[in-house]
Amino acid sequence: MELSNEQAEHLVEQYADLLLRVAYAWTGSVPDAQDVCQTVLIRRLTTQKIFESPEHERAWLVRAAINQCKNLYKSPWRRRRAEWDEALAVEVHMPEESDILDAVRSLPPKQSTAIYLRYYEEYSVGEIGGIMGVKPALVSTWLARGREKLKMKLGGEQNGTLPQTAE
Amino acid sequence: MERYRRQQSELHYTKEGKRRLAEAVAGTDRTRAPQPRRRLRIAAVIAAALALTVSAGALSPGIRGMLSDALGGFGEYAQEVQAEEVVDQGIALKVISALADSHATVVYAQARDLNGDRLKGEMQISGVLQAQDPAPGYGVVSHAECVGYDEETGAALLKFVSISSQPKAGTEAVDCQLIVFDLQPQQYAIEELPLPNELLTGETLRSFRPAEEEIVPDGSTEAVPDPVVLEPGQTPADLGSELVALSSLGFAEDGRLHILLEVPAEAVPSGSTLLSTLRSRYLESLDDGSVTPEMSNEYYERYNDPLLPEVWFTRDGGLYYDMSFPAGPEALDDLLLETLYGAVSLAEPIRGRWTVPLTVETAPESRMPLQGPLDGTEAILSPLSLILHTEWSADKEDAFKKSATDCFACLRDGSRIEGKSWGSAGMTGEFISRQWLFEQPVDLEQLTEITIGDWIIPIVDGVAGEAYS
Repeated sequence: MELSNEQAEHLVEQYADLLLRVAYAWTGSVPDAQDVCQTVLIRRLTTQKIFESPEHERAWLVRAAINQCKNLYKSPWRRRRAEWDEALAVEVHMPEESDILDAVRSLPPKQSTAIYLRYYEEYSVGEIGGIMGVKPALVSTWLARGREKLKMKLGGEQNGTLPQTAE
Repeated sequence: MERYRRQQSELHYTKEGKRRLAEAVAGTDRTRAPQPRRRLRIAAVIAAALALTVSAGALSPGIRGMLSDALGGFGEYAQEVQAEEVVDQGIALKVISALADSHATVVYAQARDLNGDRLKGEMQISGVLQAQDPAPGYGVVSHAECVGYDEETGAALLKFVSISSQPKAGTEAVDCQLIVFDLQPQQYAIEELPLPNELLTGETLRSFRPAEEEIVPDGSTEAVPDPVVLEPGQTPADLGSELVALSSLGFAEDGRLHILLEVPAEAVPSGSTLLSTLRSRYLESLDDGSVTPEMSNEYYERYNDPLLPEVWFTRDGGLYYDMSFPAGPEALDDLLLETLYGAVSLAEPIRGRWTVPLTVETAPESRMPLQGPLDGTEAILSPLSLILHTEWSADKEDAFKKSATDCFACLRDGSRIEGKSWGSAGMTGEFISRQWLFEQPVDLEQLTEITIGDWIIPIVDGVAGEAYS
C-alpha cells in the first residue's frame, strides 16, 4: 500500500507527538509507543471516517491510540517493556530531567493516561470519559488515586506536583 | 504542574524521527538499512494491521462477526494464530484464534468448502484438541462444536476446547495439536421422543425380507444376514419430530419385537443413529434398593441384544429404519419401551484428517492457597478459567461435593462473572480437581471474591481469605 507522502507528513506533523505521549503514558515504553503511533497513523490514513472538526479528529486519534495500546502485544496477556537504547535517541527526544514523568509512567495505565490527558492536553473530565469510554466519575477517581500515589512517590513535594483542586 | 508539563513536552519525535515515521506510514521507505529488532516489530505491526485487512478475503465478514460474537469479552485477549491452512476432502481448515492458560485451551478455526456448500446446516464435529499431557490418573475433557455457518463463503466457524484436570506451573506457552477427523453436516439431534407403548399388542404384524437392492447400507455396522423387517404403515404415529415418525410397532414373524421408523427420503443412514431400549415394568415397579445389579443385567440382556440389530431399507419411495429386540409376545405385559433418541443426518459425512500444530501463549495466573474448610486446596485463576486442586481426603471429598456447580468471580465494581463447570476429576487416595471456564474475562486485579455453590472465598490483594459457607 502506498499513501501520499504529503498526507503522511501532514499527519505526522500534527499528531505524532500527541500519540507518542499518549501511548507512552499507557505503555511506559518508548519503542512500544512508537509502534502504536505508527499503527494509528496508518489507520487514520485508511479510515473512511469524516471528522466534524479537528478536535473530533484529535479525540478519535487519542482513543485509537489507547485501544491500540491495549491490543499492542501479540501476547496481550503480558506487558513487555523494551529496553531503551541509544539507537532510539535518533528518533525520539527524551527529557533530561524526568522524575515526575517517570513517576506518572509508573502508575497503572488508566491513571497515567488520565493524568496526561487532564494536565497536559487539558481535556475536561467529561471529555476524557468520552475518549476512554468510561463515566466521568471514574475518571475523577483515577485522577484522585493517581495524584495520591504521586504524592507518596514524590514525597509530598509541592513545587511542580499536580494540583490538589477538585475536578 | 509546570515541571510535569515541561518534562512531558520534552518527550517528542526528533526531526529525523518524524521523517522516518512519515516514510513508514506512507510505505515508501525502500532504502532503509536493516533495522534493530524494534523496527522489525514495527514492520510486523504494519504487516499485521494490513494482514487483518488483506485477509478479509480469507475470513469473510460473516465469519469475523461470528468469531467476534463467540469471543465476546475475550476478543481483546485472543491471539491471532499464525498456522498453515490444511486441506483434505476439499475442505480447508485454518486455525484463526486461540486463548490458553496452564490447563485450559480454546481454539477457533475456519472450515471452508473449496468445492461447494457441504458444510451448511447443523454440523457435528469429531475432533480433538491435544493441548495438555496430564500425568496418569488425570484426564482431559475435549469438546468440539460448530459455532455457525456463513452462506456467503460456504465456511463454518468451529470451536475446540481442551481442559486438563491437572494444573501445571510455569507454562508460558502451550504446544497444541488440533486433529479433526469427521465433519457431519446437517445432523439433527433426536432427543427423548416418547414411543407409544399403548400401540404394542401381542398380535404378529406383517413382515417381510427386503430384497438386496432395497437395503441401504449404513457403512458402520455389520449387516444383518437375511433380515426380517416390519411392513410399513401398520401402526403409524406422530412422534413430535419432523425427522422421524413411527411406521409400525409390534412383533414380526421372527418372534422379535420390532420398531419401524420412517425418516425423510433424503436422510443419510451412514450419518444417522436411532436408538431405544426395552425395559421391564416389573423392575420399574420395585424400589431402587430392591433392584440388584444382577437383576438389572439379567432383564437388560433378556430384552436387548448387545448390538442393536438394525436395517435401513427403501420401500415405495420411503426410507425406513427397523430395529429389533429379542423379546417375544409372551413378555408383552412386562415390556416398556424407552424414549427414542439419536440423530438424523441429511448429508453425507465428510471423513478425512486435518491436523494443525500450533503454539498458544498462556495467560498470567494467580495461584492462591485456600484456607479454612478448604485448607490444602490450591486455586489457580486466570482471566479464562478457575481450577481447584487438592490432595484427596474423605473430608475434602465431602467439602468438594458443594463445588460441583457453576462459580462466580466477583469484582470490585460489583459485577459478577459466571464460570461454567467443565467437570471434575479425582482419584481416591490421590487428588481431587474441579474446573470452570469463565463466560467473560476476569480481571485478576479487580477480583474480590469467588463463590462456588455455597462456598464464598474472599480475595484481598490477590490472597484468598478463609472460605466459608
